[in-house]
Amino acid sequence: MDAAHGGSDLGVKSGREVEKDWNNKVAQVLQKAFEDGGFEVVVIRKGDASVTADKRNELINTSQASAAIILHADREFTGAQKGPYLVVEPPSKFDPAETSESQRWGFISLTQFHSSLKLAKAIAQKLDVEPAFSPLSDSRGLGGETPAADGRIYCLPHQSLRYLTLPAVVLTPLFLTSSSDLKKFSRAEYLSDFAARVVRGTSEFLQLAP
Amino acid sequence: MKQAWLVKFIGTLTVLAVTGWVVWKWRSPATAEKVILVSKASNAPLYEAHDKPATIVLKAVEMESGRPANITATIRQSKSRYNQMKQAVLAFLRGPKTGKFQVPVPEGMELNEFYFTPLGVAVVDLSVNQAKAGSLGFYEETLLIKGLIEVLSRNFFEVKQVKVLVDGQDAPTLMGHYALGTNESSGPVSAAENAPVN
Repeated sequence: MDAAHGGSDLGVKSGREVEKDWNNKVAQVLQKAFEDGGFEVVVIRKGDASVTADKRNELINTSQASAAIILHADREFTGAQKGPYLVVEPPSKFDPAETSESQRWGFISLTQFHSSLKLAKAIAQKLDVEPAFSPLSDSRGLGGETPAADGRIYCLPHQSLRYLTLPAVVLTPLFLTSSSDLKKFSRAEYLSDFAARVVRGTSEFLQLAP
Repeated sequence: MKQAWLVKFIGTLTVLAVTGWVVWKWRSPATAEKVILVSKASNAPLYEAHDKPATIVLKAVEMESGRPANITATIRQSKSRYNQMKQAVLAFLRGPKTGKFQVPVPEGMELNEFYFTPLGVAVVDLSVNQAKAGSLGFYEETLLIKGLIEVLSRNFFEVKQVKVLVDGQDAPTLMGHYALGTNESSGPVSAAENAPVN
């Protein structure tokens, strides 16, 4: 599990709300929920540490974890968007033999993409959000699936995912620009329930995984 | 008799010279156009006062729902398609920032330059120096990149791919989230939806 940003990298901001703090807050509750559920959790960012993107990728890829969840709170200028949503990295189009391309842009195989998508769908279902592709999704990876207007899975290239080699999703619990999201996630019970649902989704994914 | 032949000869020479001049003048703009298409813009104006207006479709955000929505903008039908494309990109970046529909472009984000290659790649070089750090999240970056892709591929059939540079560089992201470089053109816009400016 990786709480994105940290240290001098604040992430996005909205008023006094800072992304790195929210990522850390949600990560701590999630870590406890996973550990209570019998999981061993590899935490990439501890506290407010500053971890470079390369180091994060290296730590995640060598963790021998079954899956990776990257936490990113978001912002949006209309204030109308609410969380949660998930992001999966689309499969790469080029041949993996083109090593210069793979090194530069990362390489996501079709198998890895499908595993990540399974994880995203399992978590979305448990969070009671539409486990379908958002219309903003990339055409790569849709594989004939029609995006749904309320779909909460974004098949889009994300800097936190492109170099990972295991099933991985970005989980955005809340928008810092949404007053209702902030209110909900400020309540300990809501946050605990959210974490428990993510754990249930992940458990389901791991049972389904080959 | 000799005089008549001389008049005929001079007449033929004049016709040939005029024809040659006309052909040369006619071919010159095409050659100049080609050069503009593969290089960056000069400081020449993007259109002339007498150029007719043309309507284009831009991607904005409906403020009430936060969802993408189409709005229209007017550019000028300058002779050069390159100039029309650059006008369209500027129309998007400088689109409405107040009202019911607004463009997902943060204050301070500017167009450094726009390029269009013979292979159909539209290169948009953006400057983010003046944009506030932390002012663009993943959702907003997605709307911005998809907005650029749509404004170019929907309005100009020649555009096959859109590439985004940040301050002239092949950057990994615009402002930290949406991963650039893998394939900015693979949005949901299909070729069938593309429509040329008319």
